[in-house]
Amino acid sequence: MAYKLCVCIKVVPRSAVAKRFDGTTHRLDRSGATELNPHDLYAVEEAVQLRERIGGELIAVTMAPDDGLESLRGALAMGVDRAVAVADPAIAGSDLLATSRVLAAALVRERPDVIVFGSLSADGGGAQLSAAVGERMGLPVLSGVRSIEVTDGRVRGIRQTTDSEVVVETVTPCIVGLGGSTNVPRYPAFRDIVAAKKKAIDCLSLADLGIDPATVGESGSRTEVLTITSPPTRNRGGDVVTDEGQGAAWLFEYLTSRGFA
Amino acid sequence: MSPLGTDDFPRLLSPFQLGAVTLRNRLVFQPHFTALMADDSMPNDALRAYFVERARGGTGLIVDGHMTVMVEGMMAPHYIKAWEEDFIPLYRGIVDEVHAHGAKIFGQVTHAGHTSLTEPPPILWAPTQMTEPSSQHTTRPMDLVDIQRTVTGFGVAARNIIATGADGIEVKIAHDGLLRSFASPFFNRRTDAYGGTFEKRMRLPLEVLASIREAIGPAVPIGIRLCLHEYTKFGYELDYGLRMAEAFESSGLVDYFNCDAGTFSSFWMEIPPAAVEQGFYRPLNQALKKVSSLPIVAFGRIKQPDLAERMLELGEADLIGMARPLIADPELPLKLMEGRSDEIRACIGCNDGCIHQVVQVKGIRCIQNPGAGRERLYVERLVRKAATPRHVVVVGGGPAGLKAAEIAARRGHQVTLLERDGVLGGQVRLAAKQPFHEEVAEVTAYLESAVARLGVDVWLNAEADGDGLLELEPDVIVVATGSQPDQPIGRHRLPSDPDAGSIARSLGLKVANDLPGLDSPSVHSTDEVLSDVALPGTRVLVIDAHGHWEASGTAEYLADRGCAVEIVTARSEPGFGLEATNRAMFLQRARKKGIRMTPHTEVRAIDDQGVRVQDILNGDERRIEPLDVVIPVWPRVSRDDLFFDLVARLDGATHPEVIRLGDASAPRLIESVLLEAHQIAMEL
Repeated sequence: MAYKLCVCIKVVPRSAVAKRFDGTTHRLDRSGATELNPHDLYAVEEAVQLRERIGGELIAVTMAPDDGLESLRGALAMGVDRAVAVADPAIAGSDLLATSRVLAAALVRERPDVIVFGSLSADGGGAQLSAAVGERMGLPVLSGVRSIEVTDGRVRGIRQTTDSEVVVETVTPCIVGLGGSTNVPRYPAFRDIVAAKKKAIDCLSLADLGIDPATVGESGSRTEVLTITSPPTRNRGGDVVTDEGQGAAWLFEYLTSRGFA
Repeated sequence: MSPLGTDDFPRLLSPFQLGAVTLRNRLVFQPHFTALMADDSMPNDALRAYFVERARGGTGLIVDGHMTVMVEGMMAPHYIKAWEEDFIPLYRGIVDEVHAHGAKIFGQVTHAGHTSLTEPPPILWAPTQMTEPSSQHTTRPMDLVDIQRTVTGFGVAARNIIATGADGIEVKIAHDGLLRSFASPFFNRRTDAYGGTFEKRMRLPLEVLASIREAIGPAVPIGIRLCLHEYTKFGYELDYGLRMAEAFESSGLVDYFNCDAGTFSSFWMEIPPAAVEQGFYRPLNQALKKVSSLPIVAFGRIKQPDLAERMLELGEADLIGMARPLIADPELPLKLMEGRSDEIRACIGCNDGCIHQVVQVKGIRCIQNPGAGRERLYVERLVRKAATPRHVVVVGGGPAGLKAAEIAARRGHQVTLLERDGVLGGQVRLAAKQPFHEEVAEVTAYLESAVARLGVDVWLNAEADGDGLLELEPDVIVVATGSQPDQPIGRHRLPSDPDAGSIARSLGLKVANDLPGLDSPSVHSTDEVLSDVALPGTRVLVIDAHGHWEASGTAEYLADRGCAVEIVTARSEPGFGLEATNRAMFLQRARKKGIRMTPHTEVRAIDDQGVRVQDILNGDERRIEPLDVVIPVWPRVSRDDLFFDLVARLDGATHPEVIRLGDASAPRLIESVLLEAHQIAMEL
């Protein structure tokens, strides 16, 4: 049988861009340059490798602002066959509950065998979306795994804990949530970048998915962001001391003054 | 990691009261010559834009170093004749606009004395008839009439400067000029009332200070740019500099000290290049702070705001002097205020754009900031959005490609940057491996972070081909594929020119790379050496036919790794194209490191044992052997295959537009390719 694989990804503000927050809406300003969520690169790589092993079609699914769609080309260049993006102004401000509603609706249309999620998003950091989508779709979830094997409709993953390797298995269709940096995401070759240019990014609205706008966005969310601010600026680093013969004494004093003795 | 925010610079960004003058922060744009004025010595729009840009960028205080006090004291014609009143109305315009942007401006009054940038110099005035040791031109020993005119001249000039609305006066007793020569035991050999003892050597500077105070009244601040250490074998050192400071402070005529060091005979210490470590002069500032209760402006290679803040925190200084960091990035203060410290374009201490230009009395430049000295043309503020956004594909992530991508993105174009390597930076990454040259990497580091912020799509490990580029359906393709060493191995030739050089050879002309034995296994390129390919031995000959860092820096790189290195050059010294402070310090290091330097010599043939060289002055030939490694360094050759491939594919079609940029167009130094990239991207 030909497998159908999905990988859920997110377009986030670039890490290089200083983050600005709206004090009224408590939202991150997403108007600047965007990129593919760095954590999702591992999910894409894992999914591409899986597709290379078992064949079939690989689709990236996302909920994205209109002007961030070009950031999906990165996933397409890495080997994803096409992308589906739900881009609708009404989804802004969606929490986990609302986001999972939208993604589940988009995923259901594709009827995938395996849906791969990265560990978390760089901008939201909730790290629960795979479970929430699994609940909505009624699918089993292999969470926190570092590898995926699919054989004859069975999906196996290895979950690494501090002192054990847990092998978990389920059947398709299912969801696999990765546990972190599980691989080395590939650099697309130039030819793949060119090929990605021609791959389809299908844009869907809430209406296409039959979702009532009131059930997503802020009105469809059950959690509320109370404040959002930049983290405190980092502490100034220690002194750089040039050793002019007194370095050892200085270091001794430094360490003993901090209780190292 | 988030960039350092406003809270990280509480002292640097705090106001300071300098006498009656309130500065909005602690950053001082240090006085320096810009050569932006014309021979008429009048303030002009270029000078105005230069200072206004720094005021707009948030600098607290600008000290203008162009104010001369008498006709015999002009370092070059492109200084202001401050003893005449003609400049006042025009200069008032500069002062008003600087004030409108919240900065203060002082005029530094100067008499060039025994030093000049004009060659041959006009008459040079000095306490004693003698040459400045770095010069072959002697001086006029000043008589008492000369001295009296000088004292008066300083007062008149100061009065005129204050009449423009300027906020204060700084007196130059610094690395060049008349007043330091009077204070200096080496230069002042007089036995009259103006020399012979410390007190008498201080007399002229003190009379000048008194003359200025009388001319401008008690309320206007007067500072001294004071050379604390001459850094010569024959000159004074720090203890004497401090003694001078104490004498000036006890006169009650001075409101602040602006530190300084070096002389024309140690000019590399005046304008220290990257080989002088950052913060090198801190001990001078610290020592002065110990003996003086006056506010102190720190100086010398303070480019990191962290260091500046730290110096203020430790009480080493009250104000932080910067010239080159604010030439490279006029918005440095603003970026600190706005929590955008990660966006600062840092000075790399190359001196190639600023000092190298102005000592030739050419308008000041910066290799990284095309807008330096050309504020009305190239500052980023003037980069306008394009009427029609286009898809611009840039091939090559070296300085040229990065700069084009940056400016194109600022203009609202959709920019894709393709780099064949796994990292950006191009040749700059190799250059940065040379000794004392790490800071050059900051050029591309800045551009790399800029393109990331601006939303350029960067693809690494992506070696583009013409076919694929056209499939990307861009509106513009910028080919910035760089250059490579000019060697037979892998030598690029145009399809239409399969045997470049053959015509020249047929006419009996010398062709640069037509050197017998270039295919010898001993021959290596600088790129190979700096990429750390295994060399066949440690006996190395570098042929310097280029003159910049590529040869000399590579020679030093290998000397540091234990190689026995000789540099031969047809010119009178290796590194002949280096900026003077860099060249001086390189030659000093080369001697110390045992690098053999052989001038006026050309290599005629390379073989397995060594090379055959010819003395170009008398034609004598000899051999240098045994050698393991021969590194010929002459101008590189463009990597332009991709450009010509695209031109052929387009076959006259005008869409997409294909542009050749940077070294791929003609191999050059960073300054030229960055300017070209800026200009080209402004036209897209």
